[in-house]
Amino acid sequence: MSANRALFGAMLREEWRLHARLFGGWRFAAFPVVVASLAASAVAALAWAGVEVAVAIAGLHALVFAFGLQTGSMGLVAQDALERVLGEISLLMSTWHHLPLSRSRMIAAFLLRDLVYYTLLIFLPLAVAFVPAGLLYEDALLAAAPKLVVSLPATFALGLATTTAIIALVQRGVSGKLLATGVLAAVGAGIWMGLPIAAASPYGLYADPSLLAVAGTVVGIAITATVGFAGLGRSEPRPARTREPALDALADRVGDERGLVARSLLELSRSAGGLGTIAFSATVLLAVAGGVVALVSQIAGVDPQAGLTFGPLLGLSAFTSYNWLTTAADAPSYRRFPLSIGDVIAAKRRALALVGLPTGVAALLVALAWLGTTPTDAAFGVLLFVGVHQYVGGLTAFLAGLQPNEFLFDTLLFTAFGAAVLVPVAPLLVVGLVVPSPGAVLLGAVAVTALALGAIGTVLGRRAGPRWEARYQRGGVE
Amino acid sequence: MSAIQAEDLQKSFGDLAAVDGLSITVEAGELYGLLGPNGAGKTTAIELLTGQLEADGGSASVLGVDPSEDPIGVRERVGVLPEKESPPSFLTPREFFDFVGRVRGIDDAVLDRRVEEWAGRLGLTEHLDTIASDCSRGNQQKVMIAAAFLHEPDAVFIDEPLANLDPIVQERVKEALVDYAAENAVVLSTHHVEVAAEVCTTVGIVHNGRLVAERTPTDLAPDRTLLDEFLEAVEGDHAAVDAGAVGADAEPDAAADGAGGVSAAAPQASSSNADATDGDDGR
Repeated sequence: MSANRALFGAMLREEWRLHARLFGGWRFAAFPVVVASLAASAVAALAWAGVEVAVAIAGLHALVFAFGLQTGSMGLVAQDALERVLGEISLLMSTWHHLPLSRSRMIAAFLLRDLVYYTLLIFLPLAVAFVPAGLLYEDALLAAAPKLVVSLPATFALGLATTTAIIALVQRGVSGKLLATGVLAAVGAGIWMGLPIAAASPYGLYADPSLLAVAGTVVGIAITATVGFAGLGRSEPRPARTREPALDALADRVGDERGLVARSLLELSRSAGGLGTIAFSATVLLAVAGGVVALVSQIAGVDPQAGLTFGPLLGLSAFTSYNWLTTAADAPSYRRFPLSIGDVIAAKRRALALVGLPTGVAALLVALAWLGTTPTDAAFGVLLFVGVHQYVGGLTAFLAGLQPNEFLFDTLLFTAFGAAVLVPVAPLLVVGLVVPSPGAVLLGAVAVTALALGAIGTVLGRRAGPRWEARYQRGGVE
Repeated sequence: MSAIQAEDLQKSFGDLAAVDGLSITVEAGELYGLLGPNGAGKTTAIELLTGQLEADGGSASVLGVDPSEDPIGVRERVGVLPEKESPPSFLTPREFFDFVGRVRGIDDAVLDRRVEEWAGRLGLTEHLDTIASDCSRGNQQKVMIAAAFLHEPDAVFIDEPLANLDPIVQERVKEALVDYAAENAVVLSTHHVEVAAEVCTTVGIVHNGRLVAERTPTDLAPDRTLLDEFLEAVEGDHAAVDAGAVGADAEPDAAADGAGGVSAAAPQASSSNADATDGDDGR
């Protein structure tokens, strides 16, 4: 057996056993069924509402591309955080330095494994989800399914490889940063000039399967992956880093008597990626929102309310931001001290408010200023962002405690989390996307919803502590 | 009242009885060793006594506080050095000590003095401002040791403190433990017999979630070592378990033989129902 096959096979088995151990085999195996069910419901709802198929599928590709970008960043921007996420679990990935395998090969196998798992767990179920709605409502949905089987994994792969390439270039100093900026600017300019960038991307595999789409996809993924793997495979010894003491000053500045908030903020700011990871999450969501708004405008002829659309979508960034804040240390490391899990979760949520809210509001206002909107729409957008952000943060803490990343791959938790987010956020997005000028009553309802979500999030966040403290006391958490 | 007292303490994880009736007493001025093979239940016992886990049964008192009733109160009063833990990756040791000082309410000036003392004793001074993840494993262990003592607790629970330390620092840590135990209660969990023999005033030998013997290293017979006692107690316990398993569905004579073997092998197991299971075997 070749080293490549052995490595890849071992990584696949490792991933399966990790999740099967954490959640039980059937709960992990049921994950694609739940994804397919949720997605089928959403597709059917969109079809019933008369939303253009092209809009829905273009939005789906935008989301999958963003997911690929995000996954690449989580796996690689914060390699040190990844080790903490998984606690004392030793991954094959971390053994590259004492196995006769290059780091590049390890990273390639690691990301390929992610592609295989996400394809099986998410993208194939998403494609299958178009079949029931196609049978019920529209042939175009049925015809989309087989093309999506190819285009969605390819879109994810391009996102994943793009992130690795950007990180690899950025780590090479000024010249690398300039090159990365230049390439991104060239792609942006190409889109602006009307070059067929989309047709030559994985989206083209769905929209207009052609030699151009296939060649563009293969070449795009090959170039970005090669740059990424080659760049990240280089490992240079690094001198020990020193820092002037900063915890006390930061704790005093934020009024944090016990230093828990300051510790979280310092850990985040000093991890690979630093505070930029929060901005990155917000930017990805903004890009998705921008893409959806642009498509709705062009294809459906409706002029969406940018604030009402962007606000709730950006509020979802609370999940990833909370995730970043909880990766540096696991719960047991706090439990040697006279601290409850509730103390720690409260501090994490306060840190989330300190970094997540300003970043999100700033990103939202910049985007709205760029797109142009009314002051009313902007104000309601900010209100919705804060409400959804508070809600998602509290919900995540309640459901997943201090381990949101791993535990939300538990099928039952994922279902609960997905449903709890979709139920309030989907109607808000519909209002933003399809109601051109909402009246006072509708805006009042939006405001009440935002305030209610904020209140619910606060209550959930407060209840998260006692809930998880009891679990740790029983010894039921890994 | 004894500093640390556990009576018939029990903890199970699913079908596994990790701690199966632990009864120990530790007085101030005593360095009590929990000695056992890997997976014997020592770590779980410490987690129960420090309120990190809730016991399924039995009772415990640590410095007058019931860990099940008031886990935070217990951890305010004791120091804990966990077996598998590093200081926070992105803080420097000095920042971690500042964090510990805030959590434990230690005055700044007092904290600074104690940090200097412990850093000097352990040879950590020049690494106080290095990001913890860039410190060697040994220096990370020194940070964790110092952090357990900064508030000068009346009782300390130490789990395998000498891992990754060079011989010189190992000697310093052992000296520090002995000094500290002169006026306070110290529970030392280890599977190194020679360490337990060297520093402990009393040693409880634990195996398969039970205390199978309790010894005073200085009072052993001239021709006996703590290793002899340890092997005899653990192997005797193996025999007892095997005999019990066989006896459950075997001939009555065979069961009786097995039972006879147990008491002969563990003559001092008066507190024989005490024990614990290490985290790595218990869960």
